[in-house]
Amino acid sequence: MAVFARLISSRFMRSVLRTAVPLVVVLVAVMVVGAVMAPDGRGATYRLLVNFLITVVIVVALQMFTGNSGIVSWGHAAFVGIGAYSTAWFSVPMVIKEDIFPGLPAWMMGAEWGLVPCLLVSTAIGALAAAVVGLAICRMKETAMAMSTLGLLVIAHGIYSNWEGWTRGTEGVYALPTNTTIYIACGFACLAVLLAVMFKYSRVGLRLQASREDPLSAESTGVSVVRARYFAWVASAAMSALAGSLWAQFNLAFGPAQFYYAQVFAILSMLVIGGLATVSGALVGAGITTVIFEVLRGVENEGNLFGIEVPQISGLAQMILALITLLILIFRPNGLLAWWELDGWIVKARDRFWKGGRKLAPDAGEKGGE
Amino acid sequence: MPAEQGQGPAAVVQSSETAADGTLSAREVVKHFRGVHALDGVSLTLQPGEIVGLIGPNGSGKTTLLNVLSGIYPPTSGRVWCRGRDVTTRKPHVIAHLGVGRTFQNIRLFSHLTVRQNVEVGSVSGRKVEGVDHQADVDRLLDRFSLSGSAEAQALSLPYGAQRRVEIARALAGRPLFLLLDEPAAGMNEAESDQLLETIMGVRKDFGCGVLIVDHDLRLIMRLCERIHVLAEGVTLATGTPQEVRADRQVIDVFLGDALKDDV
Repeated sequence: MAVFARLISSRFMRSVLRTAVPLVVVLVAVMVVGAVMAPDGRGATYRLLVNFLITVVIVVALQMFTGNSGIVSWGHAAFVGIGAYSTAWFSVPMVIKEDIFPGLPAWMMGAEWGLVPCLLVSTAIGALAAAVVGLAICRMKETAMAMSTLGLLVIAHGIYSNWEGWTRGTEGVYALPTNTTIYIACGFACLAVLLAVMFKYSRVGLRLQASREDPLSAESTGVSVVRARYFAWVASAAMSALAGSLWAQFNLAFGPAQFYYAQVFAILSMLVIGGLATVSGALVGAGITTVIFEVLRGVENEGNLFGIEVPQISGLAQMILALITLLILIFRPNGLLAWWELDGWIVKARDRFWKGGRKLAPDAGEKGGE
Repeated sequence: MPAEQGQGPAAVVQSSETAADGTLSAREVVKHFRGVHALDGVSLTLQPGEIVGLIGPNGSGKTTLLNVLSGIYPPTSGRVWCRGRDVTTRKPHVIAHLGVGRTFQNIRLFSHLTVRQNVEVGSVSGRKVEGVDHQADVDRLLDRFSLSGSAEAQALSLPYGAQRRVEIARALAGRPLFLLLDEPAAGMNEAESDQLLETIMGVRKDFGCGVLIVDHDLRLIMRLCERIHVLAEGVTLATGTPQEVRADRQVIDVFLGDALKDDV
């Protein structure tokens, strides 16, 4: 008990709770809206909110690696795919599996697992795959590393598209059971946020951030940059695979095209818009991008923007998202939240609000560290 | 990879001698950059608890020697020993774990991390010592270097002088036995340089580490160091006490010249 009490009162836990609590509140609010608006678990709004919560897991997973290491990964969609395909192997009913996955060994053919075992096995396979490729990737220099993650994406896509016996190639997979509800999606989104915040404030996370700022002086300070990157790479890939499994058990049918450039671009845009350096940025970016996409999809499909007729252009959502990402990169290159988590912004806003009313303490100017 | 040099039995004897002591030393270090001979056979030993000055004109190889000692460059030939271990080809973080801390000529902080986090990285990544209370250590160092007030500010938001202090605090947080300072007095006025002298004296007294300091501020170096090592064009020109170095004809001719007559 004493150990537990000390942990709670430590600087680490205080930082974790201060940052994670506002984010969890936002996620739970999203869940409540969904549960109230669609108590039967159906309809477009419900689908949108559940997919948003799963997207949060994907973006937060990417933030763990890319945000702390400063190395852009183009390959995380491959791990989302690993999670989705692994889930299909262990959950699709046997009768269908014999038809769509003729390559599976007998013991896997019979598996019709539920939510939790599927999540576990997907996460494990994702972590294993990352642990193997990470041995090579994490030893490279920063730019080479980013390039090789792109290679990883292309290789994974090649496998998903051509390994007929296990993936059904480009025809895609179907008949997964619906196991992900809004409560489960929200639970895992909260867990992902909590883990990412804990990682950021942990020793490994701190070392990794130091290497992002200056790899050479981090090494000279005693940081094994390769080890820090490897740890984050595996952890973040495992979380991506978990998200892939949740996603597959909600969307039920998918193909290799669902884990490729368009998705990578969308995920990265979310992170860039919100801000790479913070977990809050991942959440805010995912929220803003989801809303923009939703509004623009309406325009694309129905030629209707808030009741005004506009011409239908296919691919409009992608173009606008690219434009917004570009503007953010030019005018606010560190993203909307830049270097401060939501709790930091709340403190800033409070200080500004009080400024008119009472005099600030002399040292208050240093607090924000502009 | 440094080329192995066939130096015969003499070299072996020297190595086993080096292996026994607790020093940081460069042995006949050569470093070539595409034909530029930055270092051409320099030997230097730093004992714990002593303050050694490394001086020489621009381009004489001072920073290169610091980079070889801290593992940033592998030498073209020659060896680097740290506390009885051959660390010639080891990575910088391994050398840091053995107790070598350093600062950089053009301050290299973790700019977007807070001052506290900068020092914390040093504490949790440096030389391993049983039973260290990292938080308490970090607090003490912040206090010692007058950084407590700006502990939560981003490092890049601090004025130049304070950033220099953060860099020294970060290096010390790793519990180094050897501290390498690359031009810590650059850009400082006389009063600040006097303060730095006090700081380094205090560091040696309280932490007991050996300090190797590169600087052009001869007023500082002459007052601070017990021993001075003079480099010129990649070779050792002279080495000895400040008095000896000051009296050395070659040193006066090549490097010190009028500066000595005016300043000291």
